[in-house]
Amino acid sequence: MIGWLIFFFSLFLAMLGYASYRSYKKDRTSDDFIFAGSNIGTILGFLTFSAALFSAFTFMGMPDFFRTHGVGAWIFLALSDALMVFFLIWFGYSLRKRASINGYKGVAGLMKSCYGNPFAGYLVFASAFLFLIPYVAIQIRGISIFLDAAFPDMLPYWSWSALLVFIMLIYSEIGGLKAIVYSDAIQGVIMLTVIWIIGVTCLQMSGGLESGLAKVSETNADLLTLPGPKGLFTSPFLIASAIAIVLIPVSQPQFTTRLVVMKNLKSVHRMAYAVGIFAILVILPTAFIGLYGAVKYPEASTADFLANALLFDQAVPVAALAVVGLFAACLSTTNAQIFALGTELRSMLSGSDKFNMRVTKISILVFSLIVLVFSTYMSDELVLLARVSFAGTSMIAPVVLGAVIFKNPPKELIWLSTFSLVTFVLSLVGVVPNLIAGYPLDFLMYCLLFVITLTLMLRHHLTQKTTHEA
Amino acid sequence: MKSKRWKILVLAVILMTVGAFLFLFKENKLEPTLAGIPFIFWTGLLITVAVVFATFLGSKFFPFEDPKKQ
Repeated sequence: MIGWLIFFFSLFLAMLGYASYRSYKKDRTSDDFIFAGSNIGTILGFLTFSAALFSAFTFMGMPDFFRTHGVGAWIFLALSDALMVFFLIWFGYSLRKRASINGYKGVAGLMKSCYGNPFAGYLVFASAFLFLIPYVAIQIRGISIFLDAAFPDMLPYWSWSALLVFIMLIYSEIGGLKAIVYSDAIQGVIMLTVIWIIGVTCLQMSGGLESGLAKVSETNADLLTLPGPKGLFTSPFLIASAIAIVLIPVSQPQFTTRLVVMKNLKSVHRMAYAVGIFAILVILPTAFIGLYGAVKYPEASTADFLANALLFDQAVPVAALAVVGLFAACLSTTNAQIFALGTELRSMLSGSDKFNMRVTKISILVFSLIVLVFSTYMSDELVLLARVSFAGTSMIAPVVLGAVIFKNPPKELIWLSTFSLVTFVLSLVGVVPNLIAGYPLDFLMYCLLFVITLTLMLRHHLTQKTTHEA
Repeated sequence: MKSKRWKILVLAVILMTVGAFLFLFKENKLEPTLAGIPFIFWTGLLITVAVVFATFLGSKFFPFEDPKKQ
């Protein structure tokens, strides 16, 4: 095992090193560093978007989600992702239109310029900081749980996280967004290959799809229907999850920036359906692994199930490749998010190019260290924590959508998003209840936000029209 | 023409999604199965594929040009 692991890791690190070398330019500006020359084509674009989207949460969280909550996990993630890529067709166009008029240095900077109010920018940065830090920490926590369970006495627990952050820092600081895009492409291919090899093996070990499902039907039939054995997948939960996921490109700057830096709109549109196909291809094998878990490890802990299903029950080369694949999946999401935080901070700065570049690089280092510390305090509920992160960032969607749709967006949207974000944070710390009249708070907030945002936008649209006519 | 097709496509995706959540994704519904696959899974998969296909069509029917070129 160790021999195979060294072989695959060396290969992976050599590819990352080559990506950093190819991306490094001595006399680059901070725009080259942050936006990769705004010239990303369809294939690189779709791989970097997919790799940033599908992470340790998909690789490890989804099999466990299928195992414990059942088939509704497909609607929870795959259908939501499909709706998100459809939304990208319009949103990619509108965002690029606004970016071409106002200029783009990051979502926070764009909001500041569109609303003519720096608070709009601070709001976007605060939301990204509050919810991306825990999300990145989840990824690191996920890989550490897995590697610690797989190699109990090899390294101290925290050193797996430190190793991952160290590798990410090296190549992102050397190559900027371009290195990240290349490495995402490598990681996306590795992830898809590995998850299918493991998925097919698990399906065979379950005795095939029909036989595996028949066994599950005998032992825990609730896994085959909604809302699942623990009652998680209710309609309000699934609808709220779909809205949170559809709004990811609006409210999570690592995706928003990727839409702007692509070569042209055609590339964005091709990328959108390619990500949709990738989503189906990545999530389907996680269902097979979950099915295997439901048959063979129904009562095991998350760490034990994952260590057995992904490592110990696999052939040695596959297990070694799984470790590298997981590491790659985790790395690609982590680097995208931490780099995005640096980008957002830079977009709020007004100093010289050299100064901004230095601040961005230092901020990436600082954010990485915060994430590293935070990852030691996270719980093991990877998917549910990721969902909290999606829902949390989506609270600023009204402010971003307003800026994308209107030349002079209504200022009320800033206060609406601020109110939503504060309410959501208060619900997380227990000040505001999570459930109201049996409905999840985020579901109720989405209903309310939809009505208020639509009313504000319609009123603004009609007022503007009247002003122009007068 | 492109604009009309795009609007119809958006309407179709919205109706399909709302319809699925209202009429297909019902609690405790296991039957009818498809080759042993539970109802929620195969209908969920089918709708996901349909939405991704709609995204492909959307990329063809979207009526506006790249604003960065203009």
